[in-house]
Amino acid sequence: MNEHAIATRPGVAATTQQIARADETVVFDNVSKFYGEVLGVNRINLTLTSGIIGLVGPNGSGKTTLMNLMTGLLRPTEGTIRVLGIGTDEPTRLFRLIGYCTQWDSFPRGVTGYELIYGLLRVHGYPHARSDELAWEALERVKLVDAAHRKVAGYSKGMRQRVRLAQALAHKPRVLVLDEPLNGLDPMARAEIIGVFQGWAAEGYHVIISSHILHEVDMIADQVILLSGGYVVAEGEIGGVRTDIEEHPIQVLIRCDKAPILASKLFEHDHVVEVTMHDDRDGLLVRTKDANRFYLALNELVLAHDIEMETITVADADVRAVYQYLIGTEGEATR
Amino acid sequence: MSTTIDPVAGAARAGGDPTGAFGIDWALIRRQIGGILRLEISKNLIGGRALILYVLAFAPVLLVSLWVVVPIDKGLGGPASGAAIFANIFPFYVRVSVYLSALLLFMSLYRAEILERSLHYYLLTPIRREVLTAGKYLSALIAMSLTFALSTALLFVLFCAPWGVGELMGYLFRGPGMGNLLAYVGIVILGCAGYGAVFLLAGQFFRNPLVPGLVLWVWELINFLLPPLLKKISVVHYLRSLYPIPVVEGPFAIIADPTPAWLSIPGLLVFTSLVLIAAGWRARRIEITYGGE
Amino acid sequence: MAVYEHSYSRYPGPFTPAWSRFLVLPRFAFKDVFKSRLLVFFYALSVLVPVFYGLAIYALNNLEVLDSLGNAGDELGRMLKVDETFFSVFLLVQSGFAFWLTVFIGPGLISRDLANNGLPLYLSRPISRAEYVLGKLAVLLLLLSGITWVAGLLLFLLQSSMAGWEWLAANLHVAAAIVVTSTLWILVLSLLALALSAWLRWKVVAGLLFVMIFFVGDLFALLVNMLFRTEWGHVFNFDQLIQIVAASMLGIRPPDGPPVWGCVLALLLFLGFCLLLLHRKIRAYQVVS
Ligand SMILES: Nc1ncnc2c1ncn2[C@@H]1O[C@H](COP(=O)(O)OP(=O)(O)OP(=O)(O)O)[C@@H](O)[C@H]1O
Ligand SMILES: [Mg+2]
Repeated sequence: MNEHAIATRPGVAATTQQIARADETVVFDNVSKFYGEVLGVNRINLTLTSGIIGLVGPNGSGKTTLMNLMTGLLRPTEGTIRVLGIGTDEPTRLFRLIGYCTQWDSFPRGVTGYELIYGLLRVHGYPHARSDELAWEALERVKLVDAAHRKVAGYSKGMRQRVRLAQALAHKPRVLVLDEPLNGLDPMARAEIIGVFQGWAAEGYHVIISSHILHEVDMIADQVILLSGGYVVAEGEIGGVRTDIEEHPIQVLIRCDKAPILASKLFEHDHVVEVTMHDDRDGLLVRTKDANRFYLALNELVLAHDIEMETITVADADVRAVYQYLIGTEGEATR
Repeated sequence: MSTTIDPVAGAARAGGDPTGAFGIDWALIRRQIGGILRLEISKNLIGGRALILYVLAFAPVLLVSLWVVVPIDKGLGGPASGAAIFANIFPFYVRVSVYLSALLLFMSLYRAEILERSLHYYLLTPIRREVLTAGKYLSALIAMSLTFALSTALLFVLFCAPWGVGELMGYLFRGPGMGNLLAYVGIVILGCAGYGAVFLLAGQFFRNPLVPGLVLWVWELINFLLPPLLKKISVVHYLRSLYPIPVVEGPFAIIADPTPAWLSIPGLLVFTSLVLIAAGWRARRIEITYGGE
Repeated sequence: MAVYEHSYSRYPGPFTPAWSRFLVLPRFAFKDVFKSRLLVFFYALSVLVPVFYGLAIYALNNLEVLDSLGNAGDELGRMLKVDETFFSVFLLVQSGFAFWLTVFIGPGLISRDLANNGLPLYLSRPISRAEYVLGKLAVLLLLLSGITWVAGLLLFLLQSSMAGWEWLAANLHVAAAIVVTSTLWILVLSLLALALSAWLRWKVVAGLLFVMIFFVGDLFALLVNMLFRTEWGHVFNFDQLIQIVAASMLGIRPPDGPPVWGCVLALLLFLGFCLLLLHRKIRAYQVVS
């Protein structure tokens, strides 16, 4: 039957090759969203190709807003979005292509995992047998078969996350939008789900994943988009983004005793561009071209001169700061 | 074109059910509404909301059953006199039980899901918002009609019951009883449909059901005082003219030229459809923010 | 080492007494309640009315004031007397205010905590379930007491101070009636509001149901009375029950309804039922089958 040929992935992959480029991308054209006075995202211009795309940014940077806009849950205050050539105000076509795993940890009252997935597939319009088949397939994929007939309200956090993933996957969409999909999953499940994403990406699907943890996205994404304060601050292949950022000078604020000694010693390094002493002579602001070498040098100096450090902070409020924040927790692992 | 990747619509076509009038795939819409009914009807018939519905519908039934059983003098009028008591209580029943149930059920259709943060599951399926609205409306209408049709029928029968089974059967099947009963059931269902549409729409504009609930109640209460044109914008107006047994009205009640049934039933249906269309149109504007509720 | 680890130490100071901790809840609730300008206005109104009563008491006790009004004053003096009826009217008006205040404030008290999963947060502090309910109850009881029995007793004392000791001695039953009926009424209101608030996640539905219970209760009572030719139907009509209790304590003609013991019994049963509802619902966790 026609339906089967298309709904199973190899079939779709075959079809996609014949489709024009314009219908292959997710395009944000000058998109802004304001919640009343509050800025959600501003002037977003993006073209997302297939593969895994990481959307990274600190809390409140607009990741969820961007995803809600892409799935028509929000309407942009300005600009247009087209997903594979389809506008977000055409639900009947859009949601055959798109699956969204939201960040809201909430469910209709009283449903079991199976009922949720099966019921929503019926709303999609699939007949009983097909819905049943697809539901079990999705539950299998997220390893939730055993708990399928228990109430979702009684699930653990990881199980709820998985049932939401299953809901997003069930109708085999070509664009998967996943808001922090790895939250609450144990390492086994993480690896498995990541494997699923990678498999889909390899077949020409779009997988868009948001995260606060650059390290996590770094490992799986082909392309990252850094968001901060509602703006896209960097975009491209992960390596590119990193060198892009590393070439810019970075400002570091240091509070410590023996600030004059530190200042003079730091100045001997060629990557340090500028050092400014604070008026109280207990702190300094350093501008450097190479963060990695700077931090190494700082470590050595602190040990050599027995300096007592009070704080070290990145003083920029832009790309580099965001990047520093993001790699801050997993700094070692990203190298 | 990407229409090739449309498994469900494709299936419909493969099943020999081509896209129907206005380029709309009616078979798909039918299946989608079926899907919504599956999920929604049980929500309306089980759980907290349903409990309130049942209390409003069946508390009077319980009371009247008790009245039938308790040996107090019920007069010698026979089932017809019982039906007359029913007829006089019926307007209150519509105004209180039916009205409040509709307020609760239909205003919750969207509001409760926003509150529980579960509306997005529907909005992420390939369904038109208008179809979603229609499906939700139907689900609540079916749940409420079933409940109140049963409740009304029981009430009517119970009121006619104290004079013995023989009398009751005679009144129901050889007298005007069954006709009246069916008329009342029909009125109640029409009432559910009309009030339901109004409250579904109101639920999309107001956060607090108290406000529109009270305003509409007063509007319907003073309906008989309104000029003819405004009269027609109300549910009570159409229902009142359908009562099969005349009601003893208060001193202010002026029933000026009651609308004939052949006019008031279509009138109510047209009124309901208009309100529903507005609600469906409004649903297209729903955004999921889940904040500040 | 992180900076905070250098400076962390246990709190060494004194603690507030354990019994008073539930008062934290009303403190924050009041802040919330009086954020709404409508409520401030409404509460001010319900405080102003007793002030007018006070002025009336003053006027009725001071012949000069009545005289200055001339003929009209005479009429007024004859018609209005500070007696049982005077206080029964006062109680009726203030219970109306108390009712609408509860409609506005009550339904949100617990339902908001439930909707935001706040209950485990409270119950993981040194506060018990009973104290939690008591704290929420205190919000309503404190607010409603002010406009009912506290205001009533103040008026009573004002009248006593003007009319003298004999009046006080002869009218002690009035003071008792003020306290007892007000207490009953505000307990009914606040416990019902809390119970609904705990069982319905949605504040506005709780509010709607609260109003419904009183209005639909009235109609149901009428239906019962009509069908069964009795007065006992009024047990579904709480304001009527309270009025009967008030009238019998004041010694004036009570409205139709069951005898006083029946009224009190019905009210107590209802209060117990509300407590049971609260007991069932206020839990730190819920088991889902
Ligand atoms: N419903 C809302 N009402 C008002 N402002 C909102 C709403 N939702 C989001 N915002 C604001 O929009 C901005 C972006 O929020 P968004 O939820 O997109 O961030 P995020 O990147 O997903 O954060 P997180 O990592 O915490 O999930 C924030 O400043 C937030 O306060
Ligand atoms: Mg988010």
